[in-house]
Amino acid sequence: MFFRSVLFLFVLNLPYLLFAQTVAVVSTTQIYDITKNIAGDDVKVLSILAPGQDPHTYSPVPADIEKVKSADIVIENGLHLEGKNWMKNLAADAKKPLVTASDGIVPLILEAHGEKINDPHAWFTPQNAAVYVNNITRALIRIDPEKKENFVMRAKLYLAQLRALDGWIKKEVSVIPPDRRVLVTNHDAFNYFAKEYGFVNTAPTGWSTGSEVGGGVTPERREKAVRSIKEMRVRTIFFETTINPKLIREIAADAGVRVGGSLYSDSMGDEGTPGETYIGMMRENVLKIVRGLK
Amino acid sequence: MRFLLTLAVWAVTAAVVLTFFVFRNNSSGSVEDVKNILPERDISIEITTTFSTEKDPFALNISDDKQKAFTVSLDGKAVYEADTGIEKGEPLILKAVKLSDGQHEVMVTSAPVSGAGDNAVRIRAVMDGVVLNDNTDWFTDGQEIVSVIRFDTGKTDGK
Repeated sequence: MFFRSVLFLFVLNLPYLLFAQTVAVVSTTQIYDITKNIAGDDVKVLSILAPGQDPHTYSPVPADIEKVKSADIVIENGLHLEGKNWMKNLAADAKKPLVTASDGIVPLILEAHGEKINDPHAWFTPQNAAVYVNNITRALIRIDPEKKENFVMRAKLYLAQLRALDGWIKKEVSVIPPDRRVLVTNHDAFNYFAKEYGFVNTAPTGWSTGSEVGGGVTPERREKAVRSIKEMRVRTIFFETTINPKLIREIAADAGVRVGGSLYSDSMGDEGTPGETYIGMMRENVLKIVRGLK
Repeated sequence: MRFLLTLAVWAVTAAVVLTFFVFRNNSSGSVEDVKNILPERDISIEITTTFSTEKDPFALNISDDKQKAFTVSLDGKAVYEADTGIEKGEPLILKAVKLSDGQHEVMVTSAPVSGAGDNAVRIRAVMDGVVLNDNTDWFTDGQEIVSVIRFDTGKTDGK
């Protein structure tokens, strides 16, 4: 009877044993999209953050713990994008292997209150996104080596798309005269983009929207933003999709400039919107920046 | 008794026939063997580009599959790979490439060079001072560069 029960349970679980899918749990929407482009249908990819949620200020909920428990691998952005290291902690608590997608990127250094902080918004150039692709591809091959060929072929196609995106951005921003390439947004998220494509950027809020050192809005930063806008004769400033636009609207009124709409920054757009993919969010941002500043 | 004798004769005949076929298959020689007994020729492959190469930020670099920015392959096998070192207008000459008589193919691939305008790759195959093939391919700005030439080492009368 015992053996019959064991056999019955084995047969019952056979489909799961034969067809169980590898699971990757990722922290942000950008990493979700990049991972999906490499994993295709071979890996089930789950994201902790939903579109519109802020990685700096997010606090995990019980459902996130369950998600991470089901994971074969956990992927974070790193560079302290995930405020107070919430993704690292989730992975450590569940004893799951953690991969940092930004590993190998030389971070831009931000200074605040005498402290040096690594800028975590590294995905804002296609070149850095290519580093994410390499790290994620290696990680997926490690957990599911039988699917290596699929991962590699998809990664090569996606890298070709990132290369095309980079060339397209260079051509599109070239119509903005260099002295007008000033990007004012809510928080310091666009430094990598600005450096790569020849912009100066300034923001009333620091590198994080949360309460970390160097993060948050201060009267000094707000004042500096208004001053910079006037000195640099900026015509248009932008708010970010994940942040209340009130502050940017006030600054625009103070400085006498227009608001050029919302840019995708720490999160991508909802399903069905043009910004639901990484390439889509970069494309929509560039369209708005070019229209606003040229 | 007669039955056993018939069976033994049949078995010996079958073994002889099988041995014959196995021997014939082994000794007939593959195409590879035929190529090897033909004399080899020293060929030079000259490659000139209108761009300099640099490390490709969009290359896939997983542990055993590192893509280089610039590669030359001969008959499907990589014979030269580099990220840097290819300079605009300076020919890369691969000397004393030993090839048997027959058709051969050289393929040059390079990561696109963005923002540098249109690009070109010229490939020449030269044997004993005689040009076997000389071809230049043009690529639009940002286009992935793949240029192929074929040549026949049995022919020495130019293109």
